[in-house]
Amino acid sequence: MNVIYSLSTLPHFSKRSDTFKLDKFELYTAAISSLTRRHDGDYTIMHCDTRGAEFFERIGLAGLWNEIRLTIPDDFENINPRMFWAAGKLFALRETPAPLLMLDTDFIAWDLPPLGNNIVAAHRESLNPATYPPIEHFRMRSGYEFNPAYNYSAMPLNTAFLYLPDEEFKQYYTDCAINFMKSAWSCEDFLCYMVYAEQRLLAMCAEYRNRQADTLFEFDNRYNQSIYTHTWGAKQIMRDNPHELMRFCEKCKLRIKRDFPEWEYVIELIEKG
Amino acid sequence: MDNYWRNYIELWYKSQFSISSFTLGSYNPSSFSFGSFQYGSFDISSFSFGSFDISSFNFGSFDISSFSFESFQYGSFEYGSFEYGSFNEAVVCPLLPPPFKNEPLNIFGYGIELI
Repeated sequence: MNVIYSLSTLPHFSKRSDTFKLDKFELYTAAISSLTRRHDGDYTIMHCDTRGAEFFERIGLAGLWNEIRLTIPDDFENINPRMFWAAGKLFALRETPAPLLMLDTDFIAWDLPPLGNNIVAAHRESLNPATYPPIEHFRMRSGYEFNPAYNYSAMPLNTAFLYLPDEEFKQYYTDCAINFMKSAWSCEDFLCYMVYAEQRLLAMCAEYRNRQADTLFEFDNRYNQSIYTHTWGAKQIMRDNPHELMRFCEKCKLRIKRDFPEWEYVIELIEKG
Repeated sequence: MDNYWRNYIELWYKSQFSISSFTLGSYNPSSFSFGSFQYGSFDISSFSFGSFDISSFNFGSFDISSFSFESFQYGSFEYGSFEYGSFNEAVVCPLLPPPFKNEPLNIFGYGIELI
């Protein structure tokens, strides 16, 4: 199975011009995520833009993935990188043949469920209007039309884990998402547009194209499982709390030493950043 | 724009949490200020604080007439004991970010203990 990740630096450089880097905890989870999948025989690909690939080369961690692939356009094909900070995921999807599994770098799948002909995402999200407002919220360029045949009450699919089994649907979904991003007027909304393109459209496209979409678990049961780790919003806690950061990183070090002893050298590289 | 607020929204979006059982304990909101709070075009019209009384809040020039957190839920989590301490920046944001940093990581992630 091809397992893909992505890193795009343009959202960072659209806000500041300093050196790009990732937090230690992000590098640890990215490392453990890829090494776990590789241990199970998967082929991991990190999709990057040019500066993202240079970053991994510079810090010596490019070898964590079977392959670093330069597929994310450095200019985001003129998509607003601040509004659509996760557009790199859509580009990575577009350029990787299905079937594929896409994981966020802060998501670790310690094991995989049976993956067959259905789409599988992490979990559903509720249609809270503050995050997923009605389509009238979106200011789109002339010519863009919201598909009247979509079910706009479909619950969005969280894509921290996303398995797409067939190429035809994958292209349809990514084309829809990228078209939406390219058609949106620039504004200061850094949330609703992004999650519409990435997560809500996925659920609606799947239903429209008669694809069954399963999830790993119900969101309310996220603590009642022992197969998936997602640091998610906890990243902010680690940014704010050095003690929690240290505890987390120590756990990651022990895990790497125990499960991937041949990769122990990456700990020093991560610590150096 | 204030980073706390941006992070707050991100965390909320990410975790889909809510603050239906939110309590302020001994926190005295009279000195709390949102200053010149702004969030671009972010639509806050659907927010509400539920039964939380914000009448004594000083929101500066921020128009709170339609502000609410009613659509938030945060399960059984309670903030009864938190304090904002010296958190009183002129441009501030909302209620939750300061205590975040003292919460277990699993509050906003999941499966952290598996590492």
